[in-house]
Amino acid sequence: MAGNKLPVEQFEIVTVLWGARFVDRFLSMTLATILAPGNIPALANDRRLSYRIFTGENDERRLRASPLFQRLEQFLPVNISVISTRPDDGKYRSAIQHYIQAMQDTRLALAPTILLQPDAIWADGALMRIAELADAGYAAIMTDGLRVIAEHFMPAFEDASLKGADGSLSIRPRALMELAMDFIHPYEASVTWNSKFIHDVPFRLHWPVPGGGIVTQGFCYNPIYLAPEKYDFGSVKAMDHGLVDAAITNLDRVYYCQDSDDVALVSIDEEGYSGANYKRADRRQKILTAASWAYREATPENLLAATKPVRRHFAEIDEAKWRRVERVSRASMGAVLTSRKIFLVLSLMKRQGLTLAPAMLAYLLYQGPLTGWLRIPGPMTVFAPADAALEALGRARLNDLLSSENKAEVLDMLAMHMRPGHLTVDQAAGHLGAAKIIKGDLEAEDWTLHIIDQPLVASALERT
Amino acid sequence: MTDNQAASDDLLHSVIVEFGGGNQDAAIEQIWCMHRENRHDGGIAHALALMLAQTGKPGDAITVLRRAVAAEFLNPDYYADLANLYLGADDQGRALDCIQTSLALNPVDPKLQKMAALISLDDRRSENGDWPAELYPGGQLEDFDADGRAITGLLGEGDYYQVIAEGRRILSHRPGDVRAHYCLSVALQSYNHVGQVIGHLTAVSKWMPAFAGASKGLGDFLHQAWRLKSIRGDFANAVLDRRSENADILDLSEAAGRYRSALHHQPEDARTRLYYGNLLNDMGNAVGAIEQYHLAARLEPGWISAQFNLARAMMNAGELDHALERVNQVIGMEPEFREAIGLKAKLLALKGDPVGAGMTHLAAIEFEPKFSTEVYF
Repeated sequence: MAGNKLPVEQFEIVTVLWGARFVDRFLSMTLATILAPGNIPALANDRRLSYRIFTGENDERRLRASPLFQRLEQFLPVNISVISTRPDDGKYRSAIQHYIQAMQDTRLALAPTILLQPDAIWADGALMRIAELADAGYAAIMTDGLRVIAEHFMPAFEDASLKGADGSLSIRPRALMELAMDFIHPYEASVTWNSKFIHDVPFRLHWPVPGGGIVTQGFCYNPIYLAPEKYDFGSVKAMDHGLVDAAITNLDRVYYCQDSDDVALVSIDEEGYSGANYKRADRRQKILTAASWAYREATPENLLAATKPVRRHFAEIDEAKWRRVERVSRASMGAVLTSRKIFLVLSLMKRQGLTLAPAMLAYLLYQGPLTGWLRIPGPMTVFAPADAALEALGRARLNDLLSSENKAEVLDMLAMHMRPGHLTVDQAAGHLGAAKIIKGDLEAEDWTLHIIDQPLVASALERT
Repeated sequence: MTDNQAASDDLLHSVIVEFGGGNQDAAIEQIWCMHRENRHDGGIAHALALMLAQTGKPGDAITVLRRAVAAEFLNPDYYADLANLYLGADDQGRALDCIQTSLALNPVDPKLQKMAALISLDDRRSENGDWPAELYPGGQLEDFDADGRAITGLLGEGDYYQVIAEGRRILSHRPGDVRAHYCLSVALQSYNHVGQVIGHLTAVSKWMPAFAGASKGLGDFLHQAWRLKSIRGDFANAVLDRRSENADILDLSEAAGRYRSALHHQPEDARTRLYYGNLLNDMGNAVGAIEQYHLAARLEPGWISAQFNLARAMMNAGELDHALERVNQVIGMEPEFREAIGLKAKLLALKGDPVGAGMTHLAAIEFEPKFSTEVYF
């Protein structure tokens, strides 16, 4: 990894929280675990630390009254910035604004930021690992807590963790992962590949590894550390999609925690959080729901993140077993990403005024064999017949072609109309036979669309 | 009180005076109009029901008074009046439930206690071994009214954190307080504490058996808990090599019983019908589900979730033309309803028009990919 290899001497930790519920959680969970020996006490030994907390006026009093907070102040200076909050303030939007403010305030001091969310539980040693990765030159560190059910998880966590005399709670990464999987939140379980359900915001998917692990491939991870290379924060929508694109120029300097042995944390939520948004779904629906979400929301960093499998486990798992599951996860996420590209192309076709070609492609995607067929990571060239060319064949013939009895035929036709690689108008001309490009070189990211005056499998289409 | 509310109250008062003055038909006609314009005003429904009862229309009176109870479900007088109507109709079962409910809200009302004695509430208690002898034993009624006003006031202000604190305070000295249990169930629902909500609603349902909203809510939460457990169960089966307490699957029959109880007291509640239909689907009873969806759609023809679920059930039953007609109505009511568009596309494909199906899918690509929360998938 390219980058400076000098130790980072100074960190600013930032937390944004308000409201009694979050303050309670922060004090009993987050603060208790970051005060574990391998976290802030170890980090404070050889680095300069400061802590900035954005919180409400009443919340400040509650924080300062806590013995754990007083313990925190023995390790580092804590600066509390009182913010005005309203009950209807969007918590994520407000949090992101204050994280950005904190980074802008420390711009001159060149102190990178550890972004510490108030509803997470950190394994012992996680903060020291962040420092090591910062020393290695990474500008951003991305991970996300596996979500657990607060009311079920907490009693077990308190039993399983080691209590310090100062009230801190220490837990090893694998012990934390074991509890997390035992008390998994329905959201995480629903986005697991074998689940019969899906959530309507499937920004990540898990693949089970029998015996105590999962492989995750997801679009959204939270930055837990940022050393901004730029400050283009104007259009950031949320922590987990947009902040890294706004702060980091070179995505090679973004570190994705790839194993829960590396940095382990869990985030907590109530059992019924967004509980109404689970629906029964087969695997095609899972792929399409994830693709649809990504089509609308994903940033370039999100798309990069989705290609990187993350291993989370409490058991020692054989490498061959990991790789078997990762082959499945890569193929499945490949289908998600390809489906997303098809959404882009369908949208482009619609904007070009096409009706029949995108309708046929949409049918194949939603109800035909397309989802299982297309897992194309790179560029693609799509030839879309103009409406007039397809209308000439008659609706009955088109319907017949799309019927389930003609699966092989329709896949052959697709293979003719969707070619791997980028073909310009000139390059494509040699592949088209008698067909002509009416309008070409239309782009949807790295896919290219050419509108042609007749289908490329005329013999098949014209057969009665 | 708003100006509109004050005007409505004045009008209601004048209609009641007119009824008392002997001009009954004109008064009833007028109050019917008011009721049709505002079906969720408990005061109007209550007054209309009493007039209907006095003019020899007990069946209509019961129907209308059920609406009053649904609108103001913590009003003990409405349950007491409904109990009287049920007694007149020789429906002792529902009458007992209403008296029990009314007593839970107003335990010192001598009139209610007398009614309870008259229709042998004590006998019923002895038949149900799990009923404690008293809801509020040992002089727990001090500050009963003040506590009720305080916690319902906080709930009205939407101050859920304070509701939780106040509710727990009340329950510490009066563990059976149904108003506290109810308010806590609402507040904790906003915090997504499924298990605790179920606990409080169970207490409310037990002591307020005529409060259909509590039974319906309990059915909803038990169904949701089952679904959440099922999701976690799939995960545990695939990842853990051992049993996980967190993933034990619940039995749906209790939820079904709660919905039936709600419908026993509010048979015209379209929402309960729809949610009960969704539950029956998960229990594998497609025929029962379609019957409930039909009823829900008939009760609230403008409610798209009812229409959508019925269309979907019709598709599963092979009634493709009816399903398509209905889903087209749904899309007409809400053009960006993605699930309805997806259903229409499936129907078109089943009817041999995959190109039409593709065009339908295509129409939805730009729409927000949120699930509707009431439709059954």
